Amino acid sequence: MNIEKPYLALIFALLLFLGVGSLWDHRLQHDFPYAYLASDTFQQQTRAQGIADAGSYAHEPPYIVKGYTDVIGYYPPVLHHLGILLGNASGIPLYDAVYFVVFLAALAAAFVMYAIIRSVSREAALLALPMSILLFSDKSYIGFLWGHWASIVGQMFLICVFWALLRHELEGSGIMLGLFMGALALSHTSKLLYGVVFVALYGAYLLVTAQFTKKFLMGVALAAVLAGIISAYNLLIFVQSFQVINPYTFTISTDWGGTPIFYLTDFGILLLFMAIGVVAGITLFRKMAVPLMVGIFMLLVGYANYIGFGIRAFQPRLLWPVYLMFFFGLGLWALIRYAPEKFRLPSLFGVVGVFLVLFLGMFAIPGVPAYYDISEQGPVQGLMDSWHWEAFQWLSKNTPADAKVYFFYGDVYDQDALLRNAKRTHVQVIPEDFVARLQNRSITRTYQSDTPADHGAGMPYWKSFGKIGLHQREDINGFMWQREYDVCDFDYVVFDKASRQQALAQYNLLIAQDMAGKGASLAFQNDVVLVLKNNAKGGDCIEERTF
Amino acid sequence: MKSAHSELVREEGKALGIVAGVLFVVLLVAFYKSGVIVALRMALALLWLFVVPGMLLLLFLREKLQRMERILIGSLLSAGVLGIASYYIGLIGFNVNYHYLVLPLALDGAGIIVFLWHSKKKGGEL
Repeated sequence: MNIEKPYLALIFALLLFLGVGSLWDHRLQHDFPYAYLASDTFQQQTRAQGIADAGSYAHEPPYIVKGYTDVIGYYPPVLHHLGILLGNASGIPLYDAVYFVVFLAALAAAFVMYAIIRSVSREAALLALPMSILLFSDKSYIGFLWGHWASIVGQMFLICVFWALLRHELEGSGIMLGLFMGALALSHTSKLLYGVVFVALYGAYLLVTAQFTKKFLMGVALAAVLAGIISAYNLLIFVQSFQVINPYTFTISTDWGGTPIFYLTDFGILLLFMAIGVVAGITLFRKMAVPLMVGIFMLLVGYANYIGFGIRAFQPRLLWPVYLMFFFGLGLWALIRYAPEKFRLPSLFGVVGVFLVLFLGMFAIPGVPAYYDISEQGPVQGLMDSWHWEAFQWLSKNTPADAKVYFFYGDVYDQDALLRNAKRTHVQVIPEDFVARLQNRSITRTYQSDTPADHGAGMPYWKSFGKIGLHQREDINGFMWQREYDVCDFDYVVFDKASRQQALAQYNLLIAQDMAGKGASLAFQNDVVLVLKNNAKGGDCIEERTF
Repeated sequence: MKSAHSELVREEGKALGIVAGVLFVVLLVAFYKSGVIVALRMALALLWLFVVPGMLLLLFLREKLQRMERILIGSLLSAGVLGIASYYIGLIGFNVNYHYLVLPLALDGAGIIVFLWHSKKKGGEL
């Protein structure tokens, strides 16, 4: 009996159950963005929603870029479009669909890697696959929970590029390579570089081993043309926006701004098997070239933070459990294959069973990484809740499209991309200043404020044909670039009525009361959020006083 | 020729049925609190968007690639093409919210055309 297919189905089910099922409280659709744990998750969600609302990604949703209506849609768009397609086809909300795409991409990445390994050793592939559970060990899981979504989708296509190279002798492989490269460019542009370098390395390998053929050359040339056509428009924007704002600089970076970094040592005891796998792979280099090269290449890419790649090096580490699973599987197989022939298959599945148990964390063994059951203490609702979601929905549907919204203090507002769900240009108070005013027992019209937006690409717009200008560089004296704002300049003001520090919520309500005294009207409220309409915009909407 | 067609459709249909069944059951188990209808809708959406177009796009490679590998890679090829096409077709004015109806059909058609063209090139063999 062929047990490979049931085995694959089992691993697929496990990954889905553990990775997203458990995180999502085993529901496919939720009443609001669920298990969104950081600002960047909302960045992707609101961008996808903005594209769906506009019907295209010709322009960036204005509320992502300080209200500018002419900013070109600059972010690599494949993730968002796949989310929209899946949301519309399945009927689940877009905020769930776009998140689900990311998990599907990670699972697919593991299975494509399985296919790559299987092409050189079926046994090593079977043994390697359980390691993909470590996609949901604590540090890798961060990639999903904190919003490195585009990178994960891009890396899935990068692994497809590896596959297309492996199968370069197939008819149509050049077209497949080109399409995967194009999809990679439009999923996470910076990862395209890794794909290009790997193609070059693989070509060099073929050359050195006298396997380089005209067919391969023609296939790569076709792929380059196809990928170039697919990504030309996006690359034009990328070069004149992202690259201008974030030019390459040689810096050694060992910090990811508070994000936990995956280190090789996090594999613990598994490194032993992986080391055996590396040695075995090198001794069988000619037979095992592709998975070996992929593993070593992506291992080195993970250390590119020492040559100036920073975050672009740390992100591939999130998928190390996939890239490096060949070494693990081959290492185990190198040991098992010394068993008498009739015991090999039972031994293989025995070892798979043992590692499944270990990776699932059923028995915690020091030095063996395992699945991180984030929902162990209960459902992981994330930053959003039904009250805030209701308020954001109200703002997005009941206020004029050009309305400006000011947010006073809210516990979750420091993850500021969630504010974009109001779908209105917004500004928020800086908590430190807010607290200082409270300590001074004063109410004022002006507060030090933040104008949250996506600054990564400089807010590009078409200046002339093919030439891009950046609002971020040219319009720094505009209304949305101040450090201090008069609350009275806004159309709507949002107050949280509840806080972990109730004094902050009470101060919010005191300000709201003063605004109401000056003619502001109640626009919306629920148990947690209060929205006032400022009927004295530009005038005297708050009486400045001490209390 | 006709029986070869029937045989091909039967084989691919059987494989698709198995994939559909597994997908549905796995989704139902992983998201058991959402119930049958939601799991079914998601399974059908994944089949419609990715699996069926993927199977058809790579049907011409059915003798060169093992079926599971063909379905997997085909599905991801479909995902890549859909993501790219949806972006550009949206840019030229066709609302992205209708793409889920049209684009997979276009890929299905493209897959069938490639397969028939490839078969013809091989002298009519399927």
